[in-house]
Amino acid sequence: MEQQLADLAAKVAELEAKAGVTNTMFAETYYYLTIPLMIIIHAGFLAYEMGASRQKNVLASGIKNILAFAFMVPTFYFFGWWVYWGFPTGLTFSAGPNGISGAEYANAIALPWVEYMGPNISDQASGVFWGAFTLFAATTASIFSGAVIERIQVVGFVILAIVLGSFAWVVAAAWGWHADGWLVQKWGVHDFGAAGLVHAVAGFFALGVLINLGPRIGKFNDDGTANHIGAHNLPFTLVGLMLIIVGFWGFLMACIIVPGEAWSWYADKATTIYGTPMTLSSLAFNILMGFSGGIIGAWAITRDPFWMMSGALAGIIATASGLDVYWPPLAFVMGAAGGALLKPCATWLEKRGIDDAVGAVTVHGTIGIFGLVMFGVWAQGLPALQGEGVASVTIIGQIVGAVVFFLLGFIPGYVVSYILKKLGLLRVSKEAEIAGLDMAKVPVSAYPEGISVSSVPAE
Amino acid sequence: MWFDLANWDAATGPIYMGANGSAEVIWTVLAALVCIWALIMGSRHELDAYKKMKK
Repeated sequence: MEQQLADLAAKVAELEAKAGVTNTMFAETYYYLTIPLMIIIHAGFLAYEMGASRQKNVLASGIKNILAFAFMVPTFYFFGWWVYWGFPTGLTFSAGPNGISGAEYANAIALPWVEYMGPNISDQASGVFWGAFTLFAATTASIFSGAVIERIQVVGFVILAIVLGSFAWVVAAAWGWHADGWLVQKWGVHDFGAAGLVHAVAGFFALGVLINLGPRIGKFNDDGTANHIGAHNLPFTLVGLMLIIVGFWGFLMACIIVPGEAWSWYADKATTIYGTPMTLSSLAFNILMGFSGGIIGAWAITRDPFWMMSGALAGIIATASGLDVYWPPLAFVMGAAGGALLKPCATWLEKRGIDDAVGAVTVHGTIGIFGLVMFGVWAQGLPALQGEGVASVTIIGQIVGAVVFFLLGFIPGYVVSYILKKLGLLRVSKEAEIAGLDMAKVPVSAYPEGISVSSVPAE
Repeated sequence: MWFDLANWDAATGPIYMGANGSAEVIWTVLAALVCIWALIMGSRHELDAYKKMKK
């Protein structure tokens, strides 16, 4: 009998170990696969921005976009990952209530020379988490990239992209996404899909840069009226936007904490990054409903395919804060509102002399803030975190989050671009801008055989 | 809408806002109305465009 019990116990232990290995492999594979999915976002941004450029600048825009991604990887490794773990409680760098933040914790797990930052058989999480966050960072930097095409210097742009992607948004994520973040703990900020802490930060960072960078030559007339500078390849831009949306699925999938691991919130339930239960089905319902609402809302107002596809992005961004708990038709209505708001908001900005070449400030900044604050309207009373006695979502809390995210984007964007301007590193020369940046500095030609006009646009 | 929940550990079943109330129907009707309104406006725009081409 004793032997049988011992055999049974050994068998149970063996099965438990196998189940544990399966769960760990699932968790590692889950985050690993979000990385190539998010790289599709960058294929999308590349096509989007090159298509939106004039023919004379197409490759220069592409170079800028490729470099934003490339520089984000090492800089996020050097310090961005540390910032996420070190900053949650604010500038005190102390440990938060969950004990997974602060300078000491960040030094132990995220300095670029500790054992968790390289191949390690006993750690199957750090690399895939770091990789997913690196892609979040690269996405944030690329959001700003489109606004400044056709007149920004490459090195100045790369410096700005690093400031945004490996620092500014990471501070926003530490404060408003990390479970120890002071915005979450004290104000109950809930921003599941990063409407505020990624999109609004990037959108308003772009606004800060655009003020110092100035408009493209020929964009505004002497009387202040604006001219339309058309995309040289709108179909390419539209496909790019759709690719960004494909990649969004990876981005949002990576915002989930899978169950059953030592670092999971529950043994049996997937959760948001805040530890609140959710499902992948929530995402399937609400991403699709927000996406379609955004297209329809933008179509109703503009009839313009560029704004319709931007509306698809806006629809997802408008619902991003509450993708975990929205009722799908509400997500659709929110998406439609986001899509409908786009063009009027972009026109308002343009009338103030801001030349945002792709509408990034509006799509990501304005709609990000809209989505974040509206979640406070719909979700008052939602416990913002897992556990007893935690802060709840309120309109005031979401507004506080919106103000903080606005400032975390706008101030670094404005200040750093101002310094770059004084150093002569921000804007290309007038002669190069008029002749075209490809001719000025790119050693190959985008269209050696030329391209011809396809049709005259309808009124 | 909205959440009468003190602790997520107690959550089971539906977790969307307005669950077990009338919000589902209200938002579904509203979403359908948005679709219908968009189609009506779209149709007007399209017919106007064809009329312009005739002139």
